[in-house]
Amino acid sequence: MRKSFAIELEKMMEDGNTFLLTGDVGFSVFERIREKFKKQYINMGLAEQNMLGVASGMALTGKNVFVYSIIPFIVFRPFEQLRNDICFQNVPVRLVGVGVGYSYSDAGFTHHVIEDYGILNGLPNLTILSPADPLEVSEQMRQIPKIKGPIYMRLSRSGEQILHTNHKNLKIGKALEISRGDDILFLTTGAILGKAIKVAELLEKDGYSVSILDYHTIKPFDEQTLLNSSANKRIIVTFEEHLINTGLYSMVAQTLMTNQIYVKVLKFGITEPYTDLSGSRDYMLSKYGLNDEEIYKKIKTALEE
Amino acid sequence: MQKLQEIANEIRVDLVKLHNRTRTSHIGSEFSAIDIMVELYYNVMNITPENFSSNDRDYFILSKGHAAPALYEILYRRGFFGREMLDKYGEDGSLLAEHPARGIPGIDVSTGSLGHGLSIASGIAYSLKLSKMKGKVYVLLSDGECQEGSTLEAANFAGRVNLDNLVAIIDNNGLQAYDRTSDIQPINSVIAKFVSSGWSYKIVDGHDFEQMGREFALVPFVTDKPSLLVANTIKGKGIREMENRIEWHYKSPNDTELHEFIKQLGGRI
Repeated sequence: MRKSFAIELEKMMEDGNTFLLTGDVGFSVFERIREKFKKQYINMGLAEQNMLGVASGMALTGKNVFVYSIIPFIVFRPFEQLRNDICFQNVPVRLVGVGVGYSYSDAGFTHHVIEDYGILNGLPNLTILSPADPLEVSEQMRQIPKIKGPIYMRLSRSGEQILHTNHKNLKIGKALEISRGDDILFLTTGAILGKAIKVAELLEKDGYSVSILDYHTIKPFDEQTLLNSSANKRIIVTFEEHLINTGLYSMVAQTLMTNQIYVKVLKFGITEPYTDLSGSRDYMLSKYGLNDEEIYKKIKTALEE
Repeated sequence: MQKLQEIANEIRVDLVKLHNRTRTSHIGSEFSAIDIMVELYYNVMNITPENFSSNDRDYFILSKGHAAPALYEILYRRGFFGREMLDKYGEDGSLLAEHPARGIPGIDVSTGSLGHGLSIASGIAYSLKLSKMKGKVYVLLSDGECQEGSTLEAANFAGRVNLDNLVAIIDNNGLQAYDRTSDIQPINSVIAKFVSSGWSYKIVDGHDFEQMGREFALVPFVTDKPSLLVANTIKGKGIREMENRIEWHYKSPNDTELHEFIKQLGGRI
């Protein structure tokens, strides 16, 4: 995902007015940009509050500014700068964070990101992008110039696998249909789409047909596609590598309740943060029951109830 | 042109009335900063309602956002908005809050949380330099807000990229919300940090228009360096009962004080 971002950004920087500010990260990702656009690339050092403030000032005076770091240092550390200097003032700064969920699982709790969009959903004017694979990153990057306000794009560290073939229909702000079925509706955001597709295949072998909606845009939340797709479904399932509380599940539940749609909803995501565990990404996810087999079994049980 | 001292005095009279009417705080911080802002808007900066929508001008950021009413008084007098809008300060639905927000005519940057202004100012100054624009960026900081780590992050950045079009003015009134600033971080410690980050600096009397005018004309103080002007001021300047008194960070004049203070300033009710 990081590579797709860098490739698209490099093209954009040809305009001479696009800038990349980083918080001293990007080894093996930004070498070409660094070499090619010496005046448009700035390592802002370990000073993230200032990085966001400077980005705001540059964007206020017409520069197209991308800010890149590992998510905790671009969202949690300088949260007030993001809130006041960028979102409240509706300044078109583009924040790109790496390390969704347990991307940096073995780095420990400080680097885990399981609450970012739950927190950021409360900020005015912000568009939140949560792409599932490298081609979605490229497609979103191409559409970013059309968005006048601030943007936050969250990337996995790895997850370079291409997950589907429907990228040409991706539109920021609208959930993307990955498959269409009658019985079950899957809603996913980010790279966990890969698990959703595998689980859907297992269920289809059992004769169920599954709709999958990919919420590559978290904010604004596309309620309409959810409402259109939820009719007559036996069960709705949410997938996210994020806290369920304040997560995609919460948004879905709220939308369904507000519109008086009463369907059984199963939720797969992080239930509460372990502060003392580390290990591989798969190990961390398995602690929350987020593996294909377990998810499949739970859905089957719910369907048979 | 009317003398700057008279303009500043007129604004002080208006602010006494405004705070008496609205019972809002921070009159002391406004009175220490008002002469600096009058000097900047009437004598130094090129910012007018006509050129405000272009980038080919100077910029001003009130990083110590709590002195906003003083800035509103100036913007009104410089023609950015009418008396009617100013008089709505403190009323329901007014655009003018106790801290300034982008969207008010004449305001570029929303402030109110301390420690944000110098970074944004640096971003603007950097951007103007990249575009080869001649404008300068003036940012007014409180002495207390130099305790914010983000202010020092910004000072480091501005020095590193040689922002000789950036001017930071510290309103060194020596009092913060609940203590003397010198008991928390003395001004010499602040100056040392800026200087070691690559800034040049000067110290002036922040109530002496001639002195301030002379120094602002010399910006940048040193080639290729951002300029720091430490303006020594008195919190509550102009009213005996208010000067150097911490409670005037919060209080607003009652009806008796209203008459007494306006008399002291030589104004009329």
